[in-house]
Amino acid sequence: MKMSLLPRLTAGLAALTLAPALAFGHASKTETTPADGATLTSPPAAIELTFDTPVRVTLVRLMDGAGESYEVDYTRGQPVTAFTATPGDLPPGEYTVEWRGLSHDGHPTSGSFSFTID
Amino acid sequence: MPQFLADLDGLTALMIAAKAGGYLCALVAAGTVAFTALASRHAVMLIGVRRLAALAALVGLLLVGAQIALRAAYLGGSTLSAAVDPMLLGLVMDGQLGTASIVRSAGLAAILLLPFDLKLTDLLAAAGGLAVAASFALVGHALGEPRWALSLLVTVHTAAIAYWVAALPGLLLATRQVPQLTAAGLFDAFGRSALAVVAVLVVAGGLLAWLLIGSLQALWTTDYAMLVVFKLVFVAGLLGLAARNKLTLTPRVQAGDPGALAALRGVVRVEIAGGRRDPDGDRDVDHPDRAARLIPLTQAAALLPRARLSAVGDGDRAAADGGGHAGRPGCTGPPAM
Repeated sequence: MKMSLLPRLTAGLAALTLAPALAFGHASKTETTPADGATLTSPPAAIELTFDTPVRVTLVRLMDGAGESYEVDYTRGQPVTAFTATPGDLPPGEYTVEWRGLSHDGHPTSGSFSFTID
Repeated sequence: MPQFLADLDGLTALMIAAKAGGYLCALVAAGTVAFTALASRHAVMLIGVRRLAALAALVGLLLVGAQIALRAAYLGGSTLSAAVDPMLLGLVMDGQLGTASIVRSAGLAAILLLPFDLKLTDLLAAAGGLAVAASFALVGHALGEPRWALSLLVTVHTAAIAYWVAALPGLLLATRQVPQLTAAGLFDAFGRSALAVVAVLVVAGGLLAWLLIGSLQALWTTDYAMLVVFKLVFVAGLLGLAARNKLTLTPRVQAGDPGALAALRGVVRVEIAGGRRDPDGDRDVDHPDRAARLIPLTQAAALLPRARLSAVGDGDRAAADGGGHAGRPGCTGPPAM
């Protein structure tokens, strides 16, 4: 069965625009504190992201293994190479940090990492 | 299913759809302005062509707004409230997308005037078409160095593609609204102008590829360059088929063959509907408008940001794409404008 024009165009454009986008996303090299996969003996005093070029972080989301969100204090939208967010008291468990922002060249970028508190 | 399609979430799919639709509408609007020059002697047809340009411009404007709101929504965590968050909208407008959106919107707004019989309508619409083409040079490739050369080449390349893309609905109108010989004249005129357009596409595209890729070795060592090679092979094949069609069906219409115009209309309709046989039973793949219909797909690749090229082959890509130390997937982004 033949597809009509619109789905064909959309699918084609999606393939050609998305494949490279997902393959070569505009990300600066990042380091995180805590490190991805780290196991901590106490809750982290801060969550830090380090970029090699300025990034305007617009969202930081901290969730535990059950998907429950925890509040994090941070300043949005400032172009920084060292970003810090402050979490509240965290009980032992596994946590995932997701972040989004605009990279120095104006493209959206995002990332995530996990850590465990024993 | 390719992994990148499996990774799609709803918002990203919407962003891609808005981007694809926005590209198409902008190209049709700008290209139709140029196509009015071919149709300028045929008042009845001109009305339809002008309305088509205005409609494409209107939808294009809406999609520009949608792109901005969707980008803000993404930055704010894929929520509806983020799409109208003034701080996030300000951030988006402060970047490449904002600048390109302002220029493109101004151009599309000028094209919206085309159906109205005002004194400076044609001039404003022509300037609008140029602004739309130039807006593609404000994102992606053209932001690299040498900036002025890349900007000029992307603008010219985009304008040529827009003209070709917009010719399809314009030629379809011709088969319906004007006498056969007049339609034949339009097809012939388009065929002649298409030769110049192809020359522009080849020269501008070749220079862009040379400036962006830089070496023959890159043609098989970078994914982006392989997309360019795919595009070149694809377009070369289409152009070969288009040349064959120009030498067959169009001369029949010019010769007054009673069935030729219907056949031509059928071919154009098939081009729009996609991929069936024309009324004469010939495969339609040899019509130049097929190239026009598909060129936006390859143009999408051509407009990908230069930074992606630099990322290819980077030995640290896993680290760059990882959100943390362990190269964990997740440091990526939705498609740029």
